[in-house]
Amino acid sequence: MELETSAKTVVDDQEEAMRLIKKHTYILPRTKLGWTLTVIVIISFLMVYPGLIWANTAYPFLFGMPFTYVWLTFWVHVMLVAGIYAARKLWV
Amino acid sequence: MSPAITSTIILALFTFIVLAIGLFGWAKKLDNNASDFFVASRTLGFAALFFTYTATYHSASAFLGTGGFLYAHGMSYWAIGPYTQTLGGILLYLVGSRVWLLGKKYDFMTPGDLLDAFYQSKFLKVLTGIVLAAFVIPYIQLQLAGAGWITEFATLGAVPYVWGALISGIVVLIFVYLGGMRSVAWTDIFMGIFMFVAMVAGCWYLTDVLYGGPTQTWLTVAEKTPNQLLLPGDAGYFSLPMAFSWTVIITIGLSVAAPHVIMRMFSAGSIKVLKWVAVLSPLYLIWIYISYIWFGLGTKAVFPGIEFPDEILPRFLYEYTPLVFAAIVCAGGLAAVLSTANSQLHAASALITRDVYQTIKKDASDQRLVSVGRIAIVVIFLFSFYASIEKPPLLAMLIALATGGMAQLFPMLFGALFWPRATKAGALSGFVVGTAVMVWFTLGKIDLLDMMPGLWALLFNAVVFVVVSLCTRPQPAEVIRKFHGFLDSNEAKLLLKQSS
Repeated sequence: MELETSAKTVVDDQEEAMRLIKKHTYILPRTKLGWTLTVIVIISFLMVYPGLIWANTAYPFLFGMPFTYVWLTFWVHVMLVAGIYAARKLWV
Repeated sequence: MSPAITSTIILALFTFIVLAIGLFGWAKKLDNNASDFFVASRTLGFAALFFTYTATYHSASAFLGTGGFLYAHGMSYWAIGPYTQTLGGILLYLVGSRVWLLGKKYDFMTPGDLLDAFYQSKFLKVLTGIVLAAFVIPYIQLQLAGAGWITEFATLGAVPYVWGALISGIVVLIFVYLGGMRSVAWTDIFMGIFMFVAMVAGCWYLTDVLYGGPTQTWLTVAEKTPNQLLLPGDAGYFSLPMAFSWTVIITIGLSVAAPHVIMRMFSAGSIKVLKWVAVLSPLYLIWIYISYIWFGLGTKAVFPGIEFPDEILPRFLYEYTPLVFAAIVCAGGLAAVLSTANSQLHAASALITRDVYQTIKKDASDQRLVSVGRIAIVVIFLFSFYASIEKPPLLAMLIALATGGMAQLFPMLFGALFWPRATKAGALSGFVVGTAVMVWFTLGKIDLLDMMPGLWALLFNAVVFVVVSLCTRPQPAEVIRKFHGFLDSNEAKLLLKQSS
């Protein structure tokens, strides 16, 4: 009888755990702005990996700087601005 | 006055100021308890958290190793560094906001505290404490070596390598021993500002004097060493997959999973402070190198065949700029070294004290914990100093290996914060497999698909973690409620709003 009660408690706890897991599992963004900023960050990263396959060239020089440098600096700043915007508008 | 004496006085003055600020931090302590010693009673404001995070991030490798890296691998540096720092900043908030909430609610101080509470495993806590401390200690050893090397170079040999490492180390030891996190944060504010100004000014000056300014440098590099403007660079090491694997591992290992970073998440005075540190820190971390990239690439183009490229910055400073200027910039290098050594020494002591000692000795009083923490600081310092006598290389490569080891903490940390289906068996097996793969691939020099060992270790770790978790019984409902239930609760939202 005691064994049965203990087994039932374990099953109940597991069921409750599974219910909580379902309720509290979320890894993806939950708002439209969250999605937009996530996509911007992902695209910026993709512009380098693997984007550098196509952008891996020193010419043309832009503003007196090689193309690779401008390309890498530009996309990292897009990410940076997305982060700052998230901090202002999205994150608590 | 002889050049050696002038240089020695400048470095001594700098070291004295650091010590004085460290002692000031000790005097400003709020309490004698473990919370104040390890996480500054969770009161760090924006300036303290910003500079203790950024100054710790840039180490001996930033001042010396970056020169060697740029000289050998060219533009690959710019494809890795800025991306790790910016993505790291975003992750710092996403992970850090949850870590901060749980720390505030349940009084966590170390990664082991948090992992033990979710995975209900003292063994896991001790294991992660020991493994992380093992990866942190070589880092401290490198900083002491960097301090010895910079001191010997900058004093023109008047202070030998061993004495430089010892004196700098003892200064750090004194204020970390006395003031804990609070002294670390205060000294990091000063050293963070100092190293930024010194590195930017030093490299800019050299770029102007040697290569005629930034634009002329780019043109010279394009003409003489055009491959340095592309990946993989002249050395041919940084193919796109290799640069990608470095970016991922350093992002995770250095910006999120490193024990000292997690302890800084716990130390934030409010979520608002953590948020702005997360998104603004990349500005500091990236732009400290703005002139170093010109100088590093230009040096390769104009002075090819340098035998020890890690030395280019201090060496060229002493050869081509006024002595006092060179010594002040080298003091900035010392700031980069000491600001990392103090945080790592403090974090390693916390890991040993909280995660190992307190797990074994559950009834230890707060006073006892602080005492053990201090003893740990002395022991770790002596051990690291002894190891640094052998003059280890200061290459950025070694930092990447250490971060690969620290990154193995990430899957289980992610589970505790975002994935309630994670289980103790999954976390343990993933961590053990990841660490074993890391050691195996590194020692065996296994090169799989041209990516660094840390990334493969992390992939194996994550797969094993997920598969084993799904095949085993979930953590008890009560624990999930305590963690993920709390993170989703109105209480957590209120806590966030109150602190923002």
